[in-house]
Amino acid sequence: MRGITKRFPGTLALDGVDLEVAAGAIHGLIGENGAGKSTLLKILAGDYRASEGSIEIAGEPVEITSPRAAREHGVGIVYQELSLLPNLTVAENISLGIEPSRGGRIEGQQVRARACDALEGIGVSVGPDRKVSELSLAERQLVEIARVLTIRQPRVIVFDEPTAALNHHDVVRLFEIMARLRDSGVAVIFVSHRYREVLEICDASTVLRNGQRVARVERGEASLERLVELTLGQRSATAFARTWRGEPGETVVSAHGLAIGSRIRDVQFHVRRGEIVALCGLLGMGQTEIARALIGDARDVNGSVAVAGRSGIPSSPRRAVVAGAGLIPEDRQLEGLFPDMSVRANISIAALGRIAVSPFLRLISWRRERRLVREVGTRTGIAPRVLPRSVRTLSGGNQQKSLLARWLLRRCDLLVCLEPTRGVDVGAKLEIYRRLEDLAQSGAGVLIVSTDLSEVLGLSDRVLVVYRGRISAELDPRTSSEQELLLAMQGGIEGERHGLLEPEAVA
Amino acid sequence: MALDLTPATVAPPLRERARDAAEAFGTLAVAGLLLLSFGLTSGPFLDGTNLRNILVQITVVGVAAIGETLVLLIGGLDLSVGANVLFGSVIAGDLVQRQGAPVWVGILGGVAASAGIGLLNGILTAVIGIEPILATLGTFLVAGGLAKIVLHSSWIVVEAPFFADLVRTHVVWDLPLMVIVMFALYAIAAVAMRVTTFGRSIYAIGGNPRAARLAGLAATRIKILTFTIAGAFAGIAGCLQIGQLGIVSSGNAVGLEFQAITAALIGGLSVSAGGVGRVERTLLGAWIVGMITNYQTIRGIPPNYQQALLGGILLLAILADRLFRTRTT
Amino acid sequence: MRTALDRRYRDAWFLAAMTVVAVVAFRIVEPSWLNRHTLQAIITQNGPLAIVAMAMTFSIVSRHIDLSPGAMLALAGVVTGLVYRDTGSLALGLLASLALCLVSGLASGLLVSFLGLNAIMVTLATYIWARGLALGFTNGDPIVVDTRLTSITNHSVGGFTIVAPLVVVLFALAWLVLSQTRFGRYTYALGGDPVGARRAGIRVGAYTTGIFVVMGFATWLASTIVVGQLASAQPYAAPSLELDAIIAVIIGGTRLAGGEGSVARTLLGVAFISILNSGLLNLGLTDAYYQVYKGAALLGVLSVQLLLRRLAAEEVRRRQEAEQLLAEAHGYA
Repeated sequence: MRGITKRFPGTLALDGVDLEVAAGAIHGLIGENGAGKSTLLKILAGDYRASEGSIEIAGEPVEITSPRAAREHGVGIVYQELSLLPNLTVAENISLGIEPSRGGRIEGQQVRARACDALEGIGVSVGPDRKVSELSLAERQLVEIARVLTIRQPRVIVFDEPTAALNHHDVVRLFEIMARLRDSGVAVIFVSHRYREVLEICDASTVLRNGQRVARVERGEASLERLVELTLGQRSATAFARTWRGEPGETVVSAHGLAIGSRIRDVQFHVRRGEIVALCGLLGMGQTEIARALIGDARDVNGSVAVAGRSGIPSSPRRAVVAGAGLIPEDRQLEGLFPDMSVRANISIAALGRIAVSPFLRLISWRRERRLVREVGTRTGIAPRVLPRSVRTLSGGNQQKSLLARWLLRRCDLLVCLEPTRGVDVGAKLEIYRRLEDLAQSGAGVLIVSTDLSEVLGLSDRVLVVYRGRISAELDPRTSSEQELLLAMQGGIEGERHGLLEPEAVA
Repeated sequence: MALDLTPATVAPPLRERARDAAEAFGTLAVAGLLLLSFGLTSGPFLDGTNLRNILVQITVVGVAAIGETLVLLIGGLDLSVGANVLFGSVIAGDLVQRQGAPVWVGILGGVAASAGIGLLNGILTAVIGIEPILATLGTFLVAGGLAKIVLHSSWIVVEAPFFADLVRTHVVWDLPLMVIVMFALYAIAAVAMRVTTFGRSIYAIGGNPRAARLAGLAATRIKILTFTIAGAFAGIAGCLQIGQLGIVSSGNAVGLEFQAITAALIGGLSVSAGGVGRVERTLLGAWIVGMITNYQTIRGIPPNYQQALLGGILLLAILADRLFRTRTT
Repeated sequence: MRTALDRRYRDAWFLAAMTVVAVVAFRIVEPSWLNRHTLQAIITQNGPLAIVAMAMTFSIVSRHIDLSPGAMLALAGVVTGLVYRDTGSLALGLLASLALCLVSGLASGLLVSFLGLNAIMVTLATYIWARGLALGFTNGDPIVVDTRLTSITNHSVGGFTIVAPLVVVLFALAWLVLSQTRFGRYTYALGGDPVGARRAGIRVGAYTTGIFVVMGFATWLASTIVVGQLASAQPYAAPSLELDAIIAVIIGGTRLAGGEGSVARTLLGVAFISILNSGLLNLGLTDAYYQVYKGAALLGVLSVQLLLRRLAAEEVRRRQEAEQLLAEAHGYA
């Protein structure tokens, strides 16, 4: 791909990006969120058209105008969100949409044969007659790969962040498949945030930053530190600076020996009133599960947790809320907002007890609701005239502020905030940081989970790095740089020279 | 501390306000239009007695539809309403007529019995987890059967004057007592939905069940309560029906659940998505259905064709709802 | 594989067991009940239910519910009768009702797939207007249809009418379509994940509409049988056919959420309901008790099935976790 430029109204997503991948090689594509990786991939996949630039495959210029065209040119992409139908079998999924049929009747034998061939081709032994719903995530990914490989003459296969949810064993298996593909002449592109893996398996890598290609690094030239440095570049001082840091008060949540499922072990940390703690890690390292466990939204949780003085793992979000915790989810449309209710009603929904008079009938006092919501709206920067409107009409930033207001109104002791500024414009971001700071100042404990490095360093009092289901490091944001943070998230530099992929210790 | 007073909206406020108004008044406009056209094309239609008649006709369905509306709002469906109305009226009638109990005992008993069926619905759907359409189908059979058992395959002529008074006594505007009761119940329900935490919770749970859970609402408890209340409304409707018909027989409430659902749908509720709609609009929906039925009768359209037309109208209402309302999926 | 078989089909085994229990129970109470005559009666009377239930399987697997068959059956019969009465030609009558059923199915399908209307609401409307028309056209009176059709449907060979082999043939056909053809495969896909199905290039709208048309055809077939059996078109026919069909499908183990199911399960469900119906009626129970038992049985079976399904899901999850742990351990062998 040469000189790829992509313009959207208002932004330049890609600026003259070159990507050269040799056949029979594995090429890494790395960069922060928003650097342009997914836009570049979408152009290759036919979902977008480049504003400028050209694409050549095997030396011949090609026009990729649609996903179908991409497939016909031999481009296949294994996305992070798998496209399998869980109620069908492996074989049925591999042939979905392209079943060989005669007179409407599917040739069951051929479907099975094709599946077996595809699976064998990547050296995998998943039974073709098993229902996808019964497979583990890793197995499903393998089936997805097999499905992608059924395109005619695969020439370029892209793996988009494939290792986020895999354990070591599965990653090794995946790499074997990628190596096999490489050896058969396919150009493999490996998009990942996990630089250790990139260093392990890629023959060369391209680093994007802010829509531009910053470097192309060959194997042997690269080290973890170099990749981190290239990714981040020269960073300006963070725009947000804390104006208040207080003495932390009593502990508002503590966890000992917390274990979730089989991938998160032996987690121990605490958050005190008045402090903002950040749980930080690459995608899939477990930080989101840990945060959700604190508010009762996780299964298979063991260990001891005490939330706001009440000991015991909350068994449901309701228990957690009653105990004094609150959650702002990553996807506010899906799990946070009530789309058809007003902003005011969205804010007051978690504090119905406060706006109700009359203990028996639980009547809502509109006056009290208006007053309290207006107060808390002012504290979060929501204009009063917006309050009666449907929450759908708000900008992302204001929607997020509404959720913040919700828990402020509830006077929660612990606020868990997953990706506090996702989908929020720059101006509103700073505002939200300020409000979170206020919240901490007013005596609550705040736990944020974020992949935005400057946000983490600028906002928090302590940074806990989660790596492979454990808290692997604690950093002081006042003295750490983004380089150091990203390095720690990548697993740190110790052990780099002794094997980049270390297996997790089995409990 | 700087406030963010920049325009916070994505859609211009004027357009949204217009849309809200259209939604709110769309159904009303339709009702007005129908009233006008029916009145213009048929003399006896706009007669006061006739209009009062319509109100009496829609009372039983109307009251039952209150409960159905609550269930639809929380994201469920109640197919047992008809049988539950019958069940309530049977218990009440039996207590009063056959057991000789005082009227208030009969009414209490009937409402309690229907509420009990509602409670069963709530437990089946919220605790055990059976889909509402299937659970209420089951209770439809059970409640209907129980009702018929108590009837001993005959019928009860309820002679207590109280019930007849429901129709005979004319209160304000020459309206029978039962109609006033219906209006009162709708008023109470509409206010309750706006002013109680229970009502607010119903909207939240129906609008986004996941968010409701994460916000700490006691969804299971509220769902059970909703179904139970719906049952109670069915029981009240049953008692009102005794007043209207004077007799409790097994054919009384046939097809009532579908009439109730139709009234709610015309009033703007949806079977597939909860959290949107207002109780009082169901009254409007019931009124529209009543008007159309009445008009057809006046014009001499045989009752069976009336039903056919009703089905067609329901289809139009669903279509209009889909095309003209914005709803987040 | 044996254990997988057990776990997935546990609820079907449960239903089969309940059916046997029911049969045994009824026989104990009324030993003369299950003889050849009752069996024939069961099959003959429930043939139409079986046919509609098989079509309903397709609907529910694709995540839509169709409330129209009962009313449509009556209306189709009425149309057949009217055309026959006015033209003297049975063939024309059957053709007319076939056209009606197919067009109605097509319309419902288009409304659901291209306008995005909810299937329950659309078919509810059909439920209302079709019955209305059926009653309206006939003023509630049956139309006599005394033709050769009756001799076909009621002709009995060894006590069994044509209904039995017809149901068997249709079952085989439905089973074939659902499990072996694209149409069937895509029915599952639609029910499992409509968005994913569309992404895979499946023409979701066309197949959804097709399923409604299939129900239309099944309804016509059932209607023809009923008209033949009764030698008349009854406007009050099949008052709760759709509900019984839905119950049969669900009780057979097909989930309302779609994506799974089979006609075999539905047939099992039909068998259970038919036997339950027949047995209870034979006990001389009045309509009322029978209704209560039927409702209670339905709720009971559903509850148990739900429980079994939840246990099975837990097992799967636990097994996956264990496999994960094992894989990790082996990684360092």
